[in-house]
Amino acid sequence: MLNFISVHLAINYSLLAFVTIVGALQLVAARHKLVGLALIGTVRRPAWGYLLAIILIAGSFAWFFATTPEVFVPGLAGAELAVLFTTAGICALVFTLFVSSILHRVQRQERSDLTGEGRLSHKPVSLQLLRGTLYLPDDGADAPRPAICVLPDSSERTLLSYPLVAALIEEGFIVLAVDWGPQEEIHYPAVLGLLPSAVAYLTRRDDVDPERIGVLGVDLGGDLAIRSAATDQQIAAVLALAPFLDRANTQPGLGILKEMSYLEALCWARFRQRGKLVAELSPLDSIGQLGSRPWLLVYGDRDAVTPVEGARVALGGEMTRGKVKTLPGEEHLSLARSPAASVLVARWFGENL
Amino acid sequence: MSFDFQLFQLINNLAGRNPILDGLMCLLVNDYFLTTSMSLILVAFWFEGQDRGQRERNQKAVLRAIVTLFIANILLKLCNLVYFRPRPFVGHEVNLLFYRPTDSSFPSNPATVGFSLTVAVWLYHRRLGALLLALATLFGLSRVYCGVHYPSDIVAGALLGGLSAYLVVRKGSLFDPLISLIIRTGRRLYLA
Repeated sequence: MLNFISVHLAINYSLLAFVTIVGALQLVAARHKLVGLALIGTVRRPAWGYLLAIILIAGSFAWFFATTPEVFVPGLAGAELAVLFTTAGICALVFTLFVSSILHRVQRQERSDLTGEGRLSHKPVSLQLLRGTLYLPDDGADAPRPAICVLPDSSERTLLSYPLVAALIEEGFIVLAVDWGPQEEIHYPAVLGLLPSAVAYLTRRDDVDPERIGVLGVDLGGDLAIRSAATDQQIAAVLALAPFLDRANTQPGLGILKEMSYLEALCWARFRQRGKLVAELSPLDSIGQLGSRPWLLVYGDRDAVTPVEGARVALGGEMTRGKVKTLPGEEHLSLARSPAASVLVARWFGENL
Repeated sequence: MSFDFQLFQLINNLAGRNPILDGLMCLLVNDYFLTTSMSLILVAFWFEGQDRGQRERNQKAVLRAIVTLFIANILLKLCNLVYFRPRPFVGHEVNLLFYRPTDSSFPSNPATVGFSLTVAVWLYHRRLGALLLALATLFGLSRVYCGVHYPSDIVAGALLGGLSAYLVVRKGSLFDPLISLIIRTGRRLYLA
């Protein structure tokens, strides 16, 4: 069945299949802005992606027919073509995902270097269950202030780079950034103790007004913030940036390659409890228990992980007491770092605490 | 003289008159250009879709097209076992622009492959199905133009491919668990 009577033809066909499939993947990457498949920047310059795809596909066909005279004599059987095409397809996919990941990493490094993120003055907090970082405004005011507990994305190690902490400090809030701890130790129901212990810590401080404590959660932190606020009446306002709301959203599939490279996606997937935790926290049920306290959910309009339309549908009748807001141009992972989100968060807490 | 042979002659007699048309048909008739192009369309179609639901539908179409291809090939081999038809160049004077295949002329293998993929995709996505239909039709036409198939071979191949696709897509719930498993696995790997 598999004889490969012409090795030259088989090799050339494999190369043709490999390069044309890489080209087809570039076409898809440019069309759907899949950074995880793109070999050149497609989000800003999709035309380059299309051009690369055309060059790869047309060029490899031209090369194949120019260098393979065996095309017009009895050659590869259908089964042989299928085997070669499938093998080349797997190789092309692996090649594209790997090279794209490296290029994405280099580009991200360049962007990060250009940003030159500043540092905020802070001090560590460590009390029994609670681990975190406290940020205090240094404007010299003595009156008790409102405070915000911030729960980041569980995969983040530090909040220091978040412009939103700086925006909250600027607005006069005391900010306590809660640390999730090691990922392998994040379990339900133990996580339910995180925010209440943080709120209890803040209420014991003389410089905090215990009636004006809000929580801000990012990603899975948003789901936990909603759940914690449902049971802790001391939390006066809740703002969640891109919470999952539904377990299905923790399995975004191919869509996640719109926001990150394949290797980054694999790292993101290593936190396996994410889906289970969202199901156990049941944030959709908890929103109904927030009563008259203000809440806001914020999503980026390019969020490929938790599309805002899905959140609106999931919330249904609960929309009357709170709001779902969309920020243009922001993705799931970029939202917490965006200046627009920082301004929105600081202003919203300013108005609601 | 049968209508089939008359139609064959009408198309095949165009060969050898225009070098550009001959060149184009030689490009289309070989086993690599259109089969690879159609396969590339399926690869791209796997990743096509604005949201998860749309992508899943397209991925089901791609997987059903692949299943159809296997089923159609099995049916084709069965047909070849019970009936052998010599190629047009055996026993007739024809304009032959291709090598001399030795397998049965009826039904056409390329037409079966082309139309099985076409109909399987067309049942899910009309516009892409129309593009594939154009390619499959060109594939079939080029085989007649180059003298390696009768028109009835192409029609029979198209019917066989189309029927296989219809059965797999509309009546093939037997394959659904396998197709769902592949898509679920792909989603876990961020590839679906």
